[in-house]
Amino acid sequence: MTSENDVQFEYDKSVVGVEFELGSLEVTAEIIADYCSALSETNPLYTDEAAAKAGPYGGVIAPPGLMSALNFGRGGQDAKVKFGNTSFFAGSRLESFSPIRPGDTITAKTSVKEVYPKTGRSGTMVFEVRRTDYVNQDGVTVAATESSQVYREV
Amino acid sequence: MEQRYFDEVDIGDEFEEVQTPTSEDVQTFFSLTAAASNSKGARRGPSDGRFESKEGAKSVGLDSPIIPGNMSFSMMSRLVTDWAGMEGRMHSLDVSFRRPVHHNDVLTLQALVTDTTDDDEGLRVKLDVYMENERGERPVQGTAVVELPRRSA
Repeated sequence: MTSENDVQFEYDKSVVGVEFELGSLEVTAEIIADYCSALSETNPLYTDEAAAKAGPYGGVIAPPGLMSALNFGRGGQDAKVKFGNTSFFAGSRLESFSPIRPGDTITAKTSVKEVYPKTGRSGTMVFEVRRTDYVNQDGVTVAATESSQVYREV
Repeated sequence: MEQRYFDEVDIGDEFEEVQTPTSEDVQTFFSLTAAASNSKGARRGPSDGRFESKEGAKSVGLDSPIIPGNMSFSMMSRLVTDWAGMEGRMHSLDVSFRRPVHHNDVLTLQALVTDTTDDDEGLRVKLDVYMENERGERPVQGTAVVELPRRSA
């Protein structure tokens, strides 16, 4: 049992910081086009090869939000948080470091970053923050996301 | 597409776009996951139907199907990158999800410039961003940091 700030909850501390490789995928031109279509994206940097060729990257790149949309697989360490009777996806953070081009192969590596309680106007909640790093075929970390799952009693 | 320049941005500037994600848009968004399923270790995750059908939504206590959180995130990302233009770069986006977003909601995506910095990290603009539906609710809100070129460079 873990007790922090008088909030009683349980989780498996041994998994925090342990990295797991979710999987790899090739970011194809088709994936970029489908993503842009679903969002009504018209930025020529992502949609128009001819216009993008004259842009800062010499060609089309993937919109930064794409990494948060793709499913590289499931799995990884489970913090087994025991608190409340429901949970939901509460937030997401993306950092973009380098451009992702069509044909790049991206590998996603994920880990539980932290688990912590927080008490606000709507009561006490426990946050599980998972970090995922996206690494290209050259070993460059091109982006990272952090997603928060909240556990609470309703 | 208009290019945004650091030296022409002021604190207090606002911009917005209206977007109405349809069920077809959600299906296309989901197809990205299917496209990834050929890759090593990747597969489509299980869904209880809350994103795809009225029946699935009702089974988890929702009135109608909702937009996946990562699709709302992507819409906010698009708002920022469209504003920045081809030579701008979104450094980070950080949002929280406060309410469900339903299919066919009329969404106004809005942003407000809250700070500008010119230092060792480059020319950066900080934004407050949020999504407002036609009922006046704000289901998504957060912040973003954008790097912009200088026109006078």
